[in-house]
Amino acid sequence: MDSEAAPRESWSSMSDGSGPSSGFAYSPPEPASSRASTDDRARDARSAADIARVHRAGQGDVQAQTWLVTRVLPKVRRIARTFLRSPADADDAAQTSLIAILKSASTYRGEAAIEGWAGRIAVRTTLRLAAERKRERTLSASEEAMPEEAAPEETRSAEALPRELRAYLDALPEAQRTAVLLHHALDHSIDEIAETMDVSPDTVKSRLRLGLAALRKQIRQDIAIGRRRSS
Amino acid sequence: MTQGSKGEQTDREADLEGADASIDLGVDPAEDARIFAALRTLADPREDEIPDAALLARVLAAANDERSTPIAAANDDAARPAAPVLAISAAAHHRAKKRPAMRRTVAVLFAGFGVAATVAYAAQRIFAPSAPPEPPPEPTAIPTTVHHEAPRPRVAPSATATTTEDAPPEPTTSASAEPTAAPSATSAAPPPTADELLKRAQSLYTAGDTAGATAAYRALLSRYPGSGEARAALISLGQLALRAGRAGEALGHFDRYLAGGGSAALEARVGRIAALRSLGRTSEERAAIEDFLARHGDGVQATRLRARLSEISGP
Repeated sequence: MDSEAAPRESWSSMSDGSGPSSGFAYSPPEPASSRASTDDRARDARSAADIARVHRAGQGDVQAQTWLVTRVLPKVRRIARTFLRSPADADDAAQTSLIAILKSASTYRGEAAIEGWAGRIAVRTTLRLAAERKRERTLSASEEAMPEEAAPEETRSAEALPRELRAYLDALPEAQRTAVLLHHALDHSIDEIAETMDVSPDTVKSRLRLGLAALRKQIRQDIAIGRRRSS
Repeated sequence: MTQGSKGEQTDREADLEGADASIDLGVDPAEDARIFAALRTLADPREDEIPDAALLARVLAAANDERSTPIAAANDDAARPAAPVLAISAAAHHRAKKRPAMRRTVAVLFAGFGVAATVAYAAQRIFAPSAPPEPPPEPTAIPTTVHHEAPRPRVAPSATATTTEDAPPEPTTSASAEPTAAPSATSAAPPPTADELLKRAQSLYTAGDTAGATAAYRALLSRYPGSGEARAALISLGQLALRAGRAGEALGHFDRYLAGGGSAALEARVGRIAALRSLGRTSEERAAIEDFLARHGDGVQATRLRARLSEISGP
């Protein structure tokens, strides 16, 4: 699994391996300084071409749309899967996010990597959709006692966790859960999370600290209960 | 919640009280590693999700459909692109043609159910001896442009959602036919009742203005969410979404209807099965068919659904 091989690769690193174009992106080994200016020029030229292509996507050019969607799709799907338990909801979120990205494409300024820019749109769209789904489920549950939407068996790779991870995450306050997922599941930087959530970096750090502490506490409670019951 | 689970909950709370006292909240690197590893699996691909290529085709179809809708909102079907110029779309289209007769039949059935459900409900409302008028909860009138609003689907049209793609549009009148109930509310007019909204939606639907009908049904749902009309609208909205290829949205409407129960549960279940099929969620489709046959095994749809069940349960 590549996530294990490169556990902290920045989320805004280029999927084609071409390198970063924003401050927080994953950096490959630095090239020799003599080549740096050439690389910079090449990157600038590529960025200009990419910006134009993104704009064409925004104007309805189907080829450019295909290129843009193909490029950001893996990132968008990861975001959707992370925040939504049900595969159908995650598909919906990915689809809605990609449409939102295409709608915003004509306003792309090239200040951040395409993946970073698209990712921010996807996070906001997905969080909004997740909140809607939560409201709908609450509404349905109040109309009639109805079991929560059947969720697929989630991979419990961490066999050491007493319960499914999402059960612990669901118990966190929303702000802490969002920060933990963005940082630890999607590799967003503190600064990027701060921008996305419209709070200060210190607030993000605090939410991460509290969120992790709450996760640890829940897990240890479960382990302690298991010991008490088995003894 | 069952008694048993309540009991478990109480046990757990008692255990938690005892556990809290002995919990060390210091950082354990090994434990953190397990948590981080588990967090990273959340974004992993899932078995039931739609393939990337299908998602790409859907997004492109939806984006270009939305782009053209405001220009020709009254001519919804004409505004929809015939077929995206993508290989994947061509493949999806090819799949769609595999069983045109069956798909057409199912689609016609859905359309029939839609009209039957809404007409039956309207008749019930008209002839019921004491049909109480719905209290208007909001003072504002429906915007006169309601039928021009582009449907804002949570799930966009699907290039692969083909169950009803080949079906002739149920209202065969020209798409340019003048809506029989064009909204003419002014700011001075009283807000329409749930019944009026339902009739307006039905008029637009039969006039071929699917976008207008969708908007009117949605207005009904948002204004009078607890009314019987709104429950009937869920079925119609589901069928409209299904016809437009928005299978995910359709599934949501049918699920919401079934969550509340009602006399049109059979239609909702049939619609749900079609939506799951369009979404390619075969295992859920199989379960839904089995559930349907257990409840309505002698219905007219049962034979066809049994055939479908054996098709997807094959080796």
